[in-house]
Amino acid sequence: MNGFVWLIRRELWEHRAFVYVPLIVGAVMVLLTVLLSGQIINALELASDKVASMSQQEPGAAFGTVVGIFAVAVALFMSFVVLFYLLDCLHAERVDRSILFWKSLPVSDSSTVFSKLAMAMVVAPLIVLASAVVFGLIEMLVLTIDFSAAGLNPWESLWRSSSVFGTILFLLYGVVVQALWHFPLFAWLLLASAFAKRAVLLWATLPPVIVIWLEKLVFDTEWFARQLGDRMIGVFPLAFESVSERQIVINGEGAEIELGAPLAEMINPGPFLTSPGLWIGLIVGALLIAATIWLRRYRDESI
Amino acid sequence: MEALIQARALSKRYGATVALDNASFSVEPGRIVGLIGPNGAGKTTALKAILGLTPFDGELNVLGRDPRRERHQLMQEVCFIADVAVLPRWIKVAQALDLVGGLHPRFRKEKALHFLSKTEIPLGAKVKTLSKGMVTQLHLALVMAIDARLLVLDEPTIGLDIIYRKEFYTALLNDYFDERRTILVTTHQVEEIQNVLTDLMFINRGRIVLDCSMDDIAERFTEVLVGPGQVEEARAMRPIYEEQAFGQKAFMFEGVAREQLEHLGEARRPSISDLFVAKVKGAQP
Repeated sequence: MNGFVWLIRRELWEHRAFVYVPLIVGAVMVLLTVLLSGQIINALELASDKVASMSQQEPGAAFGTVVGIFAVAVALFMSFVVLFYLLDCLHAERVDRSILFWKSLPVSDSSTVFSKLAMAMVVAPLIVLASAVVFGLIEMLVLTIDFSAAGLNPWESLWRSSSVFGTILFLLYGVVVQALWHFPLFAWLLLASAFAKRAVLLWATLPPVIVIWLEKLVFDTEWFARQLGDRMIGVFPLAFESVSERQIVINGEGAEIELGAPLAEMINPGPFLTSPGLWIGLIVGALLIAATIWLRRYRDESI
Repeated sequence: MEALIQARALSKRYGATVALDNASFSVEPGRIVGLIGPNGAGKTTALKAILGLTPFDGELNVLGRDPRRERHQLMQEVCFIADVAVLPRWIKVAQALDLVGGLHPRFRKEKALHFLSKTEIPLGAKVKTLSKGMVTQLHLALVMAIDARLLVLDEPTIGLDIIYRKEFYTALLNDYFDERRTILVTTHQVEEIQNVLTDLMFINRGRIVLDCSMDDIAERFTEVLVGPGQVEEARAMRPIYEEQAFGQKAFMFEGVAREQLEHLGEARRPSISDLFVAKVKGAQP
């Protein structure tokens, strides 16, 4: 286990973008808020009645919203970091022959492949989560100043019953289901990285494009394309109770629904865990990872 | 003592190219074995098979393990420097020390630091900023700090200038080698290692054409410089190779007692490079 931590550390040493991209995205967003403080204060002053009544209706949503926006923004950039990382990580070591150094260490090929996979499935999501929470808190401090300057009570309109814990729980659940759902995509990219001699991106994208094209040509259907789209963004309707459904519940049961942790209430693992899509994805991903490990182990690059 | 490496009938093809052709050999502990052969003779393939880096046919036992299935366990006790400049270019020297320390249970960081203190290599530098010679020194320092039983070196000094080359083998002999360890080295530069080796193995077209200890070479092989008058007489003694040398003919004999040859001309122990040429070129059809 200790060895695995070193493998992760090594990935972070080589791929600095995992650390500095979230830092830059978060810092730029906070900086923009600071720079736009004047306008924000003006807008708040103009709409102070509305803001006050909104925060009466849904107190506690502010923190969740702010952190959510940061999480989405950082995750967007991080997904590109992860994409190019996965395409690169088992290819570059063969190009510069450093694979021979890595293979001289008593580390199994499966540990190596799992460390790369863990970067995409565990490390990157946790960095997104941590940076969203930290920058979200900083953003809340900036907004506190803005709200005070606009004559609003920041405690009442921003912080009161903001559920920090509920928000983190929501994000944690979000990154876990997202990682499990995306697992076959990650595994596919790793396989392309371990397989391709050059043009890894092409090897990763061309086969699915060809399958989609052939399917259209032969059956005139779009099943595979829809599966692929669903695989990329389809986890949220599955794993979260949508806002509109929640609204219905609130209407149905009266005002008794506690409003303290609205985000955490959206967590709805039942349909996710029972969906065939999850389990088929896990099986396909496992097969692709097995193929990747096999390539890393037996591929001989010398000729 | 049991052999450290035991290879029987190793074969390996790359498409139509035969890299290893029924090669059998063994390496005993406490030896420094030079594996020497022309380009494409199968040296690197043999090493890769030993290190578990390539699939092959035949039987191979390294430290009691099958390298095909147990590479990562084997690497606990086997080190290798595959070539110069395979250290990852992005890594800092200090990171490399920490990483190998974290991943290799037999690595001793103080030892590596001690070796590095004798060089000009700064701990904060990235590998890509180091000269070729320094990268090799760093790799050697990493490897020598690992308490391994077998060290495999594939053309370790290729592309290095002469000072680094000499230092490389001096460090290896003085600070690393002892009777518990075994070194297997391939190289083109036969001259620079002939005083280092205890055993010699020639490989040609995937076959082992010579497997001999350095001590036995003088007994098995004799090179004789023969004047023009005695050429036919020398040929009658069935030399394995002959070549033109400064107006005389140089004949290589295998398994002929030196006393029988001395009357032909100046008889001497052959150099490894002459022996290599005789064994490899003499075997050509």
